[in-house]
Amino acid sequence: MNYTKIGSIEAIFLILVVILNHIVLNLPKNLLDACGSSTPLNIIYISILLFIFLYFVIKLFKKFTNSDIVDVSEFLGGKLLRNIIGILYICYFTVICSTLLRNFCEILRIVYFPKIPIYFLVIAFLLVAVIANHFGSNTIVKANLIIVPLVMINLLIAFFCVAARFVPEKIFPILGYGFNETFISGATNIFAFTGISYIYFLLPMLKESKNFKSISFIGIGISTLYVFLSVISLLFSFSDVLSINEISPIYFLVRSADFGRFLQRPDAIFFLGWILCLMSYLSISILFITKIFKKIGNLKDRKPIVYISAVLIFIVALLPKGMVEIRFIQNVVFKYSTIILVFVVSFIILILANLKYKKTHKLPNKEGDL
Amino acid sequence: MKSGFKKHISLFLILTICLFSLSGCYNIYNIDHLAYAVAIGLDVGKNNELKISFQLSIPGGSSDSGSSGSSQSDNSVVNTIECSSIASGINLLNSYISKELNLSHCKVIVFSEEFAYKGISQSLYTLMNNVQIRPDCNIIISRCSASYFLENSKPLLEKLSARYYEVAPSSSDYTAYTESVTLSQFFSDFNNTFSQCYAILGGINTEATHSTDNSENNSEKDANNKANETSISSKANIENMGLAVFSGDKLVGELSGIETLCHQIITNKLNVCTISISSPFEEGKNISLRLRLKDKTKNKVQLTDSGPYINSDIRLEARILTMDENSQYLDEKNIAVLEKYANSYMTEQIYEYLYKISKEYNSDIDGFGRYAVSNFLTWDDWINYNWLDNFKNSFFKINVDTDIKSGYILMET
Amino acid sequence: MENSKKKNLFQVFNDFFKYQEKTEYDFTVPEKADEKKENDLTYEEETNKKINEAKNIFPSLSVNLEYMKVRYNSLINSDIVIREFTLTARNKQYGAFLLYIDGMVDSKIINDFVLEPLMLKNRANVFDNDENRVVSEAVTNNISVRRVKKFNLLDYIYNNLIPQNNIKKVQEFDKLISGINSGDCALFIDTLDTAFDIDVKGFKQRGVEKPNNEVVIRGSQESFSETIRTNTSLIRRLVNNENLIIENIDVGKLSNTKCAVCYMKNIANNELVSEVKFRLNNIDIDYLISSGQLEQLIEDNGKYSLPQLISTERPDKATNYLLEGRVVIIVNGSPYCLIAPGTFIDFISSPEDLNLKFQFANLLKIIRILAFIITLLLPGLYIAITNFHQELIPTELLFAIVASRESVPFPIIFEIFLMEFSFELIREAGLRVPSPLGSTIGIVGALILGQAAVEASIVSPILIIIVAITGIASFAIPDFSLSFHCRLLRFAYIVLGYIFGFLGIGIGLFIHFLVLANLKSFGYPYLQPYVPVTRDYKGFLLSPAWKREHRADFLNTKRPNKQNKISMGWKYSNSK
Repeated sequence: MNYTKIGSIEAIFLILVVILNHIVLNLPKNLLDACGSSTPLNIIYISILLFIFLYFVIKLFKKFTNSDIVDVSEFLGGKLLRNIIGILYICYFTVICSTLLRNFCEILRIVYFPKIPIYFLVIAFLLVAVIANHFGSNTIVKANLIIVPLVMINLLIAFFCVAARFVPEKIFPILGYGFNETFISGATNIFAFTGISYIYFLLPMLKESKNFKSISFIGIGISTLYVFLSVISLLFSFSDVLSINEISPIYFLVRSADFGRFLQRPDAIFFLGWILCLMSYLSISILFITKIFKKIGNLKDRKPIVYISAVLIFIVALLPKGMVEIRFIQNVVFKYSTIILVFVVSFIILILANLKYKKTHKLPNKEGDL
Repeated sequence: MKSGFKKHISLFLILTICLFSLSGCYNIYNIDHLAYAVAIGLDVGKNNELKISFQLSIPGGSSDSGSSGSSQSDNSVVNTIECSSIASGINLLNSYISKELNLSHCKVIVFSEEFAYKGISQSLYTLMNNVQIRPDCNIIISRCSASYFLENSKPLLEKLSARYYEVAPSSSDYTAYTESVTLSQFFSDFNNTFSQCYAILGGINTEATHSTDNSENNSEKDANNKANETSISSKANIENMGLAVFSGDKLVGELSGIETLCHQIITNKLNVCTISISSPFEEGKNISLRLRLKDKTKNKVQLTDSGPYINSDIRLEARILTMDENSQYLDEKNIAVLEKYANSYMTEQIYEYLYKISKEYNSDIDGFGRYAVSNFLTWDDWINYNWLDNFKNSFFKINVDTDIKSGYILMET
Repeated sequence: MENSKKKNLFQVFNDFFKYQEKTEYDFTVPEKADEKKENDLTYEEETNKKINEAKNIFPSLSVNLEYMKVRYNSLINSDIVIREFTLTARNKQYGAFLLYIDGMVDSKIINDFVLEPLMLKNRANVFDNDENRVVSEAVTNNISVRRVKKFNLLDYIYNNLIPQNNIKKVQEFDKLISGINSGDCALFIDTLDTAFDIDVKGFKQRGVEKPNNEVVIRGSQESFSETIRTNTSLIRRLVNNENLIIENIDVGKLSNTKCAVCYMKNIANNELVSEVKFRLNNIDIDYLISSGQLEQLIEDNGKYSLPQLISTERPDKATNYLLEGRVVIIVNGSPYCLIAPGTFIDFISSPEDLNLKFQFANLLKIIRILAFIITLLLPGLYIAITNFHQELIPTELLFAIVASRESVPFPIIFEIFLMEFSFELIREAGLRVPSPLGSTIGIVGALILGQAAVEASIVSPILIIIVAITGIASFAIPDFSLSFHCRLLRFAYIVLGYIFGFLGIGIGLFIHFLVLANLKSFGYPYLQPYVPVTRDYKGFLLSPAWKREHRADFLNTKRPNKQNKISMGWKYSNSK
C-alpha cells in the first residue's frame, strides 16, 4: 500500500492535532487544578520527562522497523497479546474521541444552538468523519495538513488577544499548591500528551522511517509549547480560573477579547477553526481505529468497519447524562487510562520485546560457536 | 438495476435528512425577531426584590431621521420591571414587547448605589453565566437610581445610544477622572486574592446635584468632584466621574476625580491627564500641568510584623499649559521650584488617597497583593496570610519625581 | 341570389362547426427495438463488411472508380469531384482519375501542378530509345544477355512527373480516404495498385486573431484558431527548439478528429506523456467536436466539477507551460488547447503574470484568492451570521440591517435565493442579447432591477450589495471553469449556513478540503506544492524573474534547473 505512506510534515501535524483539540476543551484547566500557580514550572518539568521517555521509546523501536505497537505485541506474546493490546487501544481511542465530541457538542449547544437536540450535532460531526474516511487515509492526512496551520494561528491569536491584561505576578507563589503537588504527584500531568499514543502507530505509515526521531521530537516539542502557552495565558489573564469551573477556558478567554470597537465578541470566528480541528481529529481517530481492527481481525478492507466505528462512537458519546459525568470521564478516566496504557503498559511491552529480540538473535550465534 | 436502487435509497435518505434539518428547529435567532437591549439597569425594588430596567433600541429611528439633535424617544425606550431575578425579569419583558429580548449588544450595566451596598454577587454571577452578555461591557454604579440614570442618558453628540455608551468611558484616556471598567475585569478582580474590584461611578448631573463645596482653593474644587457634582450647566445628562470601591461584592465607598487619577498613576494605567496646582510664583493663581507617566511605577511590598510596608516609586513627566504675560516658567530655577511644588502636591494627594482606601475602606483596589505574593512559596501560605484583610494595617512610602519638560506653543513671554 | 346567400350562410355555419381533420405535422423517430427489420444491417456491421471486403487499392482503374464512387456516395454528395483523364508516359497511355472534395482544395494548385504536367505533352514524355537503361551485359559464345532495367511507371510518375512538394504513395483505402477528408486529392492510375495522396489543401479559415476571452495588456495578442496546422505552427515558432515533439492521435470513430500532443522530449516526464497518450488512444466515442468535450473525457475525476486541465487560447501561455514540462493537447476545430496537468494554483494565475513585475503579479494573485473566497463564502457567511451569530456584527451595522429589513416581507433565505437566481438569469440573458444592446442591458438591468426591488421593499439594500460583490468577485477568477465551480457551490454553502450556522460552514469547508486534497490531475496532487509538502514552496507567490531557478518540483521533469544561480550575468560579471 505504497500510496498510503505519509511524509514527515504530515506526520508532525498528525501528532499536533490531538493536543490542539484537547487544549480547546479542558486540558489547561485540568493542569491548573492539579498544580495551581506553579503549573508553568510543572509543564517544563514534564516536558523534560517526556523527552527522556520519548528518547527511550525511539531507541526501543529501532529494532522493529515498519511495525507499530500491535505488531510488537504480536512478536512478544503471539496473537493473544496482539488482540488484547489492539482491543485496549480501540477502547481507548473510542472513549477519548467520544468524550471530546460530546464535550464540544455540549459547548456548541449551550452557546449557539439551544434548541437542537444533541444527537443532531453529534451526527453532523460523525457524518463528516465517515465521508472523510471514504476518501481514504491519504486524503485525511492531506486535509489535516491544510487545517492544522489554520488552527495553530487561531489558537495563537486566542492566547494573546487579552495580552494587555496579563498580570505576570500570578505565577507567584512559585510552588503553587506545594512541592509535592508540583513535582511528584504533578508528574501525572504527563497525561496531557496523548500524542504519544499516535507515535506508537506512526512507524509503518512513514515514507522515510529514518525521520521518525525528528518527527516525534518536533511534534511533541510543539505540543509542549502550545500547552505551556495556553496555561500561561489562562493563568495570567484570569484569576478566577482557579476557583471557577467553566465549560471551556479558552472560550472564556476569547469572549473577553476586544479588537477595538469594530470587532467585538469574535468567538464565532474562533469556533470555525475549532470545528474544523475537531472534524479532522475525528476522521483521524476513526482511521486509526479501523486500522487496528483490520490488523487484529485480519481483514482485507477497512472501509466497512468505518460505519461500525462511527456508530460505536455515537453510542458512547451519548452515554453520559450530563456535564458532570463528562467531566468525570475527562478528569479521571482519561487521565489514568492514558498513564496506564500509553506510558506504562506500552513501555513495558517495548522493553520486553527488545529483550526477547536480543534472546532470539543471540541463540543462533551460540549454537554456531559450538 | 442494483445501482439504480442504491441511488434511490440514498436520495430518499438525503431527502429525509433535509426534511428533518429544515423543520425549523434552528431558526431561532432570526435577526428580525429580536429586540436589542443597549443597557441594563438594576435597582432595589419594593420588598427588597429586584427592579430591572432595559433600554431597548428602536432600529427604525437610527437610520435616516431628520431631527437635529436626538431625543431619547427617537431611537430607544426604557422599560422597567419589578421581579425576583434577572431571568424572570427577562421573561416578563418578553411577554410584554413584540420581539424576543437579546442581550448580545448590551454596552452598559448599571447598578444603583443602594443595590450595590447590599451586595451584587448573585447578579454578577448570573450575568457572567449568560451566553449573550458581552464580557467587555462597562459596569457603572450610579448615585441615583438606575432607571432614572437610563431614562436621562441622552447622547448629546451622537445619534445612537449604543455608540454613546461605547465612546463615553473612553474619556478616561485623556482625562483620567474615571476608568473604563469592563464586566470581565470586574469579575476577575472580584475573584482575585490579590485585589478588590471597582467600578465606574456615574450619576445624572442636574442643577440640584451640583457640588456645594465652598473650599477656598479653587483648583482643588475642579477635580475633587464625584459624579454629578461638577457644575456644568446643561440639560440633565449622565456624568461618569470617579470610581466606586468595593470590598468583596459590597460597595464601601466612592472616589472622586483626583483620587481616580492617583489610582491610575499607581496602577500604571495613566495615559494623560491635566492637573492644576497653585502657582508658587503668584498668589491665588493656578498653573495647569499636563501629566503622563515617564516610567512605569515601581511598587514593592515588604511584609513586616506590623503589617505590609508598601513602597512606590513614581515618575511623572509634565508640560506646562497655562501661560500669562511675563511668565518665565521655563527658567532653570523656576523649573526646579515648579517641580518641587508639583511633587509635593502629588505626594500629598496620593498619600491621602492611599490612606483613604486602606484605612477607611480597607479595599486594595490597586492590586498591591500581586507584589506581596512573591514573598510566599505555596498557595496555602498565601491564603493563610489573608492579604485582603491585612491591607488595613499597611503603611506607605511614596516617592514622586516630576520632570517638567516644556510648555506647548509659547515657551516664554 | 337569395338561394346563393342562403347557401352561403349555411355553408358558413357548416364550415364553422364541421369536423376538421388535424393537419398538424407530427413526426416521431421510430424506436430501434420495435422497428428494426431483420435484413437491415447496423452501421457497424455495414462498415465491417466493407472493411472486410477491400483494404488495398485494386490494380484495375474501373474497379477503383466504382469503389470510390460507392464509398463516397458521389451520386448524392454534391461536393465530391471526380476528374477522369488520360495520362501519357513513355508514349504509352494510361487511364487515371483524380478525386477530391470541392472547397477543401486549392484548384489552382491542382490545375498547375497536377493536371498540367500529367496531361499536356512535355518533352519528358516522349519516348526515346536512349531511355532503355542497360544494367549489365554478358557475352558468351555469340549470345549476349542483356539485363535491362524495367520501366517502373510508379517511380517514374513519382520522381519525374508531378512537381508537387507533398506526395505520398498509398496502398490502403483507409489512409487515402482520411487524406481526402482533410483536403488532399487522390490520384488513381490504371494498372497500378498504389495511389498517390497529393497535398493541395486550400480551404478558407479564420486567421490568427486577438484572443477574445483572455485579454492581457502587455503580452502577445495572438490566439489559436480552428485549424490544427495553424496552431501547431504558432507553437513551433515560439518554442524554437527541435526537441519539441508534436504527435498526432485521431479521436472518434466517425469524425477521426485530429488531436496533437505536444511536449518537450528533454524536459517532460515520460510517464506523464505516456499517460496522456494512453488516455487519448483509449477513448471509445463516435465523434469529437471540441476540446471541452475532450477535457471531460480524459480528466481524472469529473464528479466534483473542479477543472483539472488548463484550457487556454493563447499560444504564449501554452508555450510557457510546455517549457515548464507539461503536455499540450490541441484539437482540430477548437481554438482552445488543453494543458495537462492542471493544479489549483494554475487556475488562479493569469497569463499577465509573466509580463508584470513580481510585486504586481503577487498583489493580483492575492486579490484573486480573495475573490475566490468571497465568491464561495460571502452569501453563506452573511446568512450564518444574521441567523446565528448576531453578536459578531458591529452594533451600528446591525441596527442598519434591521432597519432596512423592516418592511421586507420575506425571510432572509428566500431573499438570498431570489437575488442570486436573478443575478444568474441576468448573466445568462446578457450572453444572448443582440450586441448593440448587450452590455448596456446587463449593467443597467442589474442596477435598475436592484434599485427598484429595494424601493418596492422586496429585498433589503444590504443584500443587493452582497450579491453584487459576490458577482463581481466571480468575474475576477481567471479560469472560467473554476468560477463556475464557485458559483455552483455557493448555493450549497448558503443552505449549510442556513441550517447550521458556522457549524454548517465548517462542515462545508472540511468536505471541500477533503475533495481538494483527494483530487489528482494526471497523477499529480491537485494542491501542490502545499499538500504534500515538496521542496519547492514557491507555488503561490511568484519569485522575481531573476530568481526562478527551479522548474516546479512536483512535475519531476528531466531538467529541474531552469536558471543559473546568477541569471543576470551582466550585473555580476565584474565579480569574476
